[in-house]
Amino acid sequence: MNRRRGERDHYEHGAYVPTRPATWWLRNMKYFLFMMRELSSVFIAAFLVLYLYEFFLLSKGSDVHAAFQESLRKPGFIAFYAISLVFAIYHSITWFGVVGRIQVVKIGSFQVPPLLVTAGAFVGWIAASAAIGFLFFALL
Amino acid sequence: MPEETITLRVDRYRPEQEDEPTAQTYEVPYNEDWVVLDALNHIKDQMDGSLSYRWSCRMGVCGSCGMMINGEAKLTCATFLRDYFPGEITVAPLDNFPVVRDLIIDMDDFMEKLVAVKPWIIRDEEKPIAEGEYLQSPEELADYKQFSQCINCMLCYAACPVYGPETDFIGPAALALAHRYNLDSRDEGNEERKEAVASEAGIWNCTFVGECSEVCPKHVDPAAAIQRTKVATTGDWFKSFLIPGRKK
Amino acid sequence: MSLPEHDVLVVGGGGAGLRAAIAVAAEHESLSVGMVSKVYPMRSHTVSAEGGAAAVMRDDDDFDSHAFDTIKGSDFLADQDVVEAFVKEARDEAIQLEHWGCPWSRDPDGRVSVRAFGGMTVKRTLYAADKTGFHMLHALFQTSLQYSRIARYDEWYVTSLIEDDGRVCGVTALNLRSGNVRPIPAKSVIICTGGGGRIFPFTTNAAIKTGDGMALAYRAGCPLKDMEFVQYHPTGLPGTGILMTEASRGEGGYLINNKGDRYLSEYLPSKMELGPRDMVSRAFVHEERAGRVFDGPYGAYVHLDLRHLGEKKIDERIPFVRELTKNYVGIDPVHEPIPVRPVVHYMMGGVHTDIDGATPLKGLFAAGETACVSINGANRLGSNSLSECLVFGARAGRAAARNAHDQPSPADAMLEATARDQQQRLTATFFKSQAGTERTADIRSDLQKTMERGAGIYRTEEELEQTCQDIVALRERYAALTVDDHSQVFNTDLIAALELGSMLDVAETVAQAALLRRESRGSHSRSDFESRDDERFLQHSLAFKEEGRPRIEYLPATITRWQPEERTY
Repeated sequence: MNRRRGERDHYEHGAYVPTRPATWWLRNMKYFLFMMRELSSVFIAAFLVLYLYEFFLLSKGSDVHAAFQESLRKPGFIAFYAISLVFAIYHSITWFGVVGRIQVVKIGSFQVPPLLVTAGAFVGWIAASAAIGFLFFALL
Repeated sequence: MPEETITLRVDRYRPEQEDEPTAQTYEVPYNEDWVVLDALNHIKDQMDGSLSYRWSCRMGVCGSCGMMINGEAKLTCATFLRDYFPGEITVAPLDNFPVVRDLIIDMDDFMEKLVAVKPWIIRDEEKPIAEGEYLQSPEELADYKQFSQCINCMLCYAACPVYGPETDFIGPAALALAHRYNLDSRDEGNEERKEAVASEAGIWNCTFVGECSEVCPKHVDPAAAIQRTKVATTGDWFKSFLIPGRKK
Repeated sequence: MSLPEHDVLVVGGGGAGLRAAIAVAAEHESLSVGMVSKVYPMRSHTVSAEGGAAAVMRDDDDFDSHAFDTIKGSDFLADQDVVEAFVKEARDEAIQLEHWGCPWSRDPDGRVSVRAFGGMTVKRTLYAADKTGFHMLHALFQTSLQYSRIARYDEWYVTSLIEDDGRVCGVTALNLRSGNVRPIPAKSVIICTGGGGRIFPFTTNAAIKTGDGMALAYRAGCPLKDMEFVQYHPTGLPGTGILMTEASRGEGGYLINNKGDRYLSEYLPSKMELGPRDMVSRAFVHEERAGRVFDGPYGAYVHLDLRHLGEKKIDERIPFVRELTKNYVGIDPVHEPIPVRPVVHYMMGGVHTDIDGATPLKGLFAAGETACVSINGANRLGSNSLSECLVFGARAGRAAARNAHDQPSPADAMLEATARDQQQRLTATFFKSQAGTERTADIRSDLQKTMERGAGIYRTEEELEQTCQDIVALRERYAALTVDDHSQVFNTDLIAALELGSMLDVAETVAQAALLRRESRGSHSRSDFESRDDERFLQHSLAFKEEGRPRIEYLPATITRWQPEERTY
C-alpha cells in the first residue's frame, strides 16, 4: 500500500488502523435497513424451498400433499409465512424503487425521467401480481 | 453579555505519543455563519496549534476536508454549526481509512484505486489537434456529466460498509469515475477497464447498500453508476457468446 | 537513502504543473519527471476556477483580436510578443484538453461552446458549465495518471531550491508524513505553485495560496516581476470571499447599487458588467464612497442580480453559483439578488520568466499564476488564466526538458548536506526549547490587515510606506514565532509557519513595488498619482531580495504592433 512512499523515505510511525465492531450495522437506520434487506433473501429463499417441496409432494399423491399442508397450519409456520410475506413485500418495494436509478431508458435521445421508470416498474409488479392472484383464485 | 459557545469533541492521534486516538474537548465561540471548518481553524489559530487536518478551498470543490461529524461523513466546510447548536459536535477522521495523525487519513489506497480503473480517454486512434475537437452533442455530454462531478472527497468510502473490511474493493468513487469514462462518447476503453472494474474487487463486491450516494456532496450517485455497470457488463457477457463473432 | 534524480521536477500540481509534467512525460520517453506538491494534485486551487478558458475558436474571431483585447486589458503593460504567441497556442491547448476528456459545454452541433467574458470583444471563452477549473484540473490529473513515469511526491513541502555553480539542481522538500527533509535532485525545476492571495484578508483564494514558489525563487535571487498588480475580482461573497464567477455577468447578470441602478453605466457605458475587472472593482469603491451601497455584517456590498436570466439558464450555464449561494448565504439567485463585493483574486505578478518559462536562474522555470511572462500586464482579463496555465505549462515543460539534456548531475554529498542543513534550521527556528512570544495566526492576521489598508484597490504614498514598514516589523515578530506542535508526523503547525514566511516575502515585494510605481495603471490605482505615465512606467518592476526592503529595478515592456492608447470601455 505504501509502496511508492516507502521507496523514498523512512517512516518511524505507522498509521493507526481502526477496528470495526460487529454491531456496525446498528449504528444508523440506513445500515440497519440494508441488513434487513439482505436478511429478507434468507426468508424468501426458505419460502421457495418449502414451496418447491410442496410441488414435489404433489407428484407423490394428493393425500401426501394434503398431510403436508395440514402440518403447515401450525402457528410456527404461519408466523414464518407472515414474516416472509412482509420481507418479500419489503424486498420488492426496495427493489422496484431503485429501478429508475439503475435502468436508464431512452427513447431516441430523450431520457425518460427516472421516477416514471420506477412508477412503470411498480405498475408492472402490481399488474403481474394481480394477474397471478386472479389466476390462482380462479383455479381454486 | 457572555459569548455563546459550542463544544467540539475532536479525535486526536499523535503517533509519537500514543498508540490509539483519544478525544479532546474544545469550547469554541458560536457563530451562526460558521461551518465546522471555521471552528477547527479557530481551535488551531487561537487555542491549540497542534490540531492537524486537511483543508483548502472552503467552498466544497477541492475535496480535502472530509471528516466524520457526529458519526456521519461530511465536508467540514459545508457543515454548519447552527445545525447542531447547542448540542456537542464530535469530529473524527473518515471511517475505513488508516489514521496518520489527528483528523488526517492515509489515502494511498484510494489513489491506487483511481489509477486501477484507468480514468483517462482511451482510443485506438487520436484525431489530430489541427482537425479540432471531437464532436459531442449536449445529450452525449449529459449522459456522463453527473459522474464527472466527483471531487475525490472519499466520503463515499467512509460510508461504504464493504470498503471497511474488504480492503481490495475498488470503491464507489473510482467505479463511478470508470463509468464516467465508459459513457463518454469519445472513449473506447470499456473493455480495457473491465479487468479492474468487472472483477471481484470491482463492481461485484458492491452489495448496493447505497450509503455512498447518500453522503456524496456532489450528487454523483456512485451506487447508480456501479449498478448500471453491473447491468451493462452482464449484458455484454451474454451478448459475447449469444452473438458469435461480435466485435467488442 | 538517496532519492532518484529527475530530469525535470515540477513543483506544484495544479493546471500549469500538471500540463508541464504531461508535456515532458508524453513527449520525452527517456526523461524522468517528478512532481512535488504540498497537497494532492486534485486539491490544487485550479479546482476553484469557474468561468472559462479563452481561445480563438470561431470564424468570427482572430488572433489579433484576442491579442489586442488582452493587451488593452493589461493597460498596455503586457509583453506583446508573448501575447501573440499565447493567443496562437491557446486554441491548440484547448483542443488538446478536449481530446484528453475535458467535458467542455457544447453547442447543439457538437462543437465546443464559447461565451462572453469581461474585456473580450468576441465570444471566445470555452467553459465547462461554471466549474471549468474543476473539470480542467481533473481532466489533466486523470490524464497524468496514465504516465506512470511521473513520480509524484504528494504532500511534500519544498523548503528551498538547491543551487550549485550558479544553477538550480534540485529542491529540498519536507515529507509531511515523516517530517524528514530530503533532497530531490533535478536537472530542471519548474515552479507552478500559484499566487499568494492569502496575504490579503478577503480573497477568493484557498488556504494553500501562500506564494511559496514565488518565495523560493525570490530567495534564490530570482526577481519577482510586477508584484504590485493584484487583481480584485468584482464579485465575491462578503465575509467568506467565495467566488461568484464572472460568467454570471457573461450570461447577462447585472450589478445593482442600493438605489436599484446598474451603476456601471457611469463608469463603463459601453461594456457595463463586462468591463475589465480592475475598472469594475474601482467602480464599487466609488459607489461606496458615494454611499450608494448596502451595509452588511461583513462590510459594504452591492447586488448581483441574476433573476432575469431565469431558472433554466442559471441551471444550465451557472449551476455552481446557485449551489454556492444557497449553501453559503441561504439565497436562491433565481429569486433574490446575491450580495457581492470585490475580493482579491489573482496576482498578475510573479517569478520573472521569458516566453518559454525560463527564469534568469539557470535550471529554474516557472509557469501559471506563479510566473509573470507577462501576458497579463497590469490587469488580467477573465478566462486568460486557465489558458495561460496550459500554454505556458506546456512551454515551460518543453524548455525544461531541453535544458535537462545537457546538465551534469549534482554531487550526492552536497545534496545530503543541504538537506541536513535545512532540517537543522527548521528545528532551530521553530522547535526552540524556549517558547517564543508570537503566534502564526496573529502575525498572519496583522499582515493581512496592513496589506488591505495600504495595498488595496486604492493606494497612497503614506499608506504604502506604512505597510512596507509594518512588514519589516512583522518580520521581526516572525523571528520570535512559537510553534505549538513539535511532532514529526504531519505537522501542519510547522507548515503554516513556513507558509507565513513565504507570505511575508511576497507581501514585501507587493508593497515596495506599489510604493515605487507612482502612476495608476490597470489594477494598481494611486489616489496621489491618478493617471497612467507611459513615459516613466511603461516598464515591468523587478523586485530583488535584499537585507532590508527589496530592491526594485525596471524592465521595459515589449511593444510589437500595438501602441499604447487611452483605455476606455
